[in-house]
Amino acid sequence: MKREPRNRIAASVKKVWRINAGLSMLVLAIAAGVLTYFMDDWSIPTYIIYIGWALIVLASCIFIWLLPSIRWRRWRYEVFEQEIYIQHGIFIVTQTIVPMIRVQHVDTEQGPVLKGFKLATVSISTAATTHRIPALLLEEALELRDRIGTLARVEEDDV
Amino acid sequence: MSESKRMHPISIILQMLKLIKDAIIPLVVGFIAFFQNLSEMFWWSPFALIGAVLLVSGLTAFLHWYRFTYRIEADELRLESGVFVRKKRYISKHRIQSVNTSANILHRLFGIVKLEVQTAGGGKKAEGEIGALSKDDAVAIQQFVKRKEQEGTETAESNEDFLSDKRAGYQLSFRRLLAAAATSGGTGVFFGFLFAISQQLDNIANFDIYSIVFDWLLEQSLVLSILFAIGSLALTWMIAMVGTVFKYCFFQITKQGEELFIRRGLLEKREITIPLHRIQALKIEENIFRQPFGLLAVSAEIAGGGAESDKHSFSTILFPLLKRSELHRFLEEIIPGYVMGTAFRKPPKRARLRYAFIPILISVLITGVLMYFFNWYGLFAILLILLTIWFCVLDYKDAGVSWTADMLSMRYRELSRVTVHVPRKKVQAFRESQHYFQSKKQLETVKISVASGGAAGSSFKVRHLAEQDAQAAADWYSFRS
Repeated sequence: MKREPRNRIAASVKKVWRINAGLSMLVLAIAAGVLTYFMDDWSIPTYIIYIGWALIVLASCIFIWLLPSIRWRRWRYEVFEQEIYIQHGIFIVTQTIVPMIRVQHVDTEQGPVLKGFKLATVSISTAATTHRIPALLLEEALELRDRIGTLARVEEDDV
Repeated sequence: MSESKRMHPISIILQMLKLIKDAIIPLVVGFIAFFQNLSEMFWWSPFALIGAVLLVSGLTAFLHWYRFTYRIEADELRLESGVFVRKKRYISKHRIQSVNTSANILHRLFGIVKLEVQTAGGGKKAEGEIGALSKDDAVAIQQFVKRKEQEGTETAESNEDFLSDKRAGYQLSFRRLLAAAATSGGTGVFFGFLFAISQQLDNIANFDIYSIVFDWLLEQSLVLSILFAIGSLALTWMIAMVGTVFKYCFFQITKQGEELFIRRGLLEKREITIPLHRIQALKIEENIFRQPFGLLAVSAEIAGGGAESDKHSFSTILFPLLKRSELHRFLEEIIPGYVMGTAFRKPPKRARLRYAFIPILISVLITGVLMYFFNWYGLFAILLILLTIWFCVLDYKDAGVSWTADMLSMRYRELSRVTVHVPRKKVQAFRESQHYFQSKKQLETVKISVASGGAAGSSFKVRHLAEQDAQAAADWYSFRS
C-alpha cells in the first residue's frame, strides 16, 4: 500500500455509526425479547435463546464499540488538483484513485442522523462508479463539493 | 424526414404475438383451470375465449401502433408513444452511442427491421426502440446519426476514403463457425435453461422432475448411469452448438473510417454499428475448450451496454473465433491502438497459497458433505478436488498486468482466460486493495472500473499481485507521480 491520504473524515461520525448500529441491534434485541417471552408457548429450546442473546451481545460489542473506531481510523481521503485519493476498509483496505477528468458530478447529502451532528456525505460519480466520503462537517463538505466541481470542470472529455 | 411517422403496420401483428407470448403461461394455466368443468359449458365457449384473447391483444397492439410515432427534428430523434399515458422521448443525436438494427424471421418475411438506439445511460434495454420500420427508414436514421460523427471529429474524410477503408474486414468461414460452435461451452447456459423450464413445470403440474430422475438413476446400474450422464451431456452440447451456429452464421465485421459494422445471424439478422471511440475496453476470451487449440474470441465493452440481445453479457462480440496467431493482425486492422502488451507482471510465488486456499477449502467441504450423504458414491467428488487444484494452478499462472504509456492490459481467469485491454483514458477509477492475509505476504489486488454495462459500470481485477507491481500500476495511472 502506498502512503495514506492526508485528511481524515469528521470524528463525530463514529457516534453516527454507533447510533445506526445501535438501532439495528435494538431491532434484533426486540425480536429476541419477543422470542424469549413466548419461549414456552412456541416451545423454543432454551439453549437457542441463550445462543441468540450471546450472539446479540457479541455483535453489539463488535458493531457498536469496536468497528466504528477502526473504520474511522482507516478512512482517509485527499483531493489533489488532478485526482481524488480515497482509502477505506476494515478487513480489506482499499485505496482508490479517481482522476478529476473522469468525475461527472459531485453530490452532498444529509440523512436525519447526519443532520443532527451537522455532517454531510459527499458522493463523487464517474461514468462507471460512485465514491462516497461518508461524513464531513457540513461546511467542509460543501466546500469540497464546490472545489471538486471546479477542478472537474477544467477538462471536458466524452465517454 | 421531419414529419412524424408511424411504424410499419406489420408491427401490429408483431406486437400482438409478443403480447400473447409474454402472457402465455398465465393464459395456458387459465385455460386449463377454466375447462376443467367443460361439460357444463356451451360448445362455443373455447372459441369465444380465444376470440376474446385475440381481440384484446389485437386492440392493444393496434393502439400501441397508432400512438407510436417517430420523427427527426432539431437534431433529435423524437419518439412518442403510450395509449393512456403519453410518453415523449427526445434523444439528442449527440448522445447516441450506437444505432443497431435486427430482423427476426417475421421481420424478414416482410422485409422490415427493428431499430435500437443506445445512449450512454445504463440498463440492458435500448433507450430508443422502433419495433418495425422499412430498411430505407432505418438507413435514414443511421445516416442522420452518423452525420455528427463526421462533423464532430472534423477529420474531413471524403466518401472515397470511406469506401477504400471498407476493405478492412473479416468474415467467419463455415469451418470456423462449426469450430466456434463446437467449443462455445454454451452447455452451462443450456443447463440453466433446462433448470428454468423444470421450475416452470414444477409450478404448473406439481411434478418433481429431479426426484423422478434421481430415483430412476439409482435403480440403474453404475455403467448405465454413467452412459446416461455422458449421453445427456452430449445432447446439451449439440443443442448449444446449434444455438451458436444460428447466432454467428454469416458473421462479418468491416471497418469503415471510424466505425465498425457487424452483421450476423441465420434466422434473426442483426446489424450493429460501433463507433471506435465508444469502445471502453477490448476483451479477449479463451475458454477451456478453446485455449488448448490456441483459439479465442474477441469482444468489446461499449458504453451504455452491449448491442446484443444476449442477456448474459454486456459486451459485443467482435469476432467469435480467431487463432492466437491471427489476433495481432486482426487488432491492427480492425481496432488499431489496441495491440497486446507484451510482458505481464505476474503474481509472485508467495501468492500461490492465496490462489489455492479458498477454492480448495470449498471443494473439500463439498466433497465432505457429498460423502456424508451418498457414502462411497461421494468419492466421485474427489474428482472435483482434483479439478479445483488444476483450476487454481491455471488461475495463478494466468494472472498478470502489463501496461504501455496509454494502455493497461490485465489477464485473469474466470473459467475462461480473459485478457482485457483498456486505454488509460477509459479507466474511470483505479483501486488497490489488501486484506489481512495479503498484507502478511505483501500482496495486493488491483481493480479498475470502466463505463460499460449497467449503471454500475463493469470492473476487471487481478488478484494477489506483488505489492510493488500493484503500486507501480497505480503510479502509472496516477497523475501525481
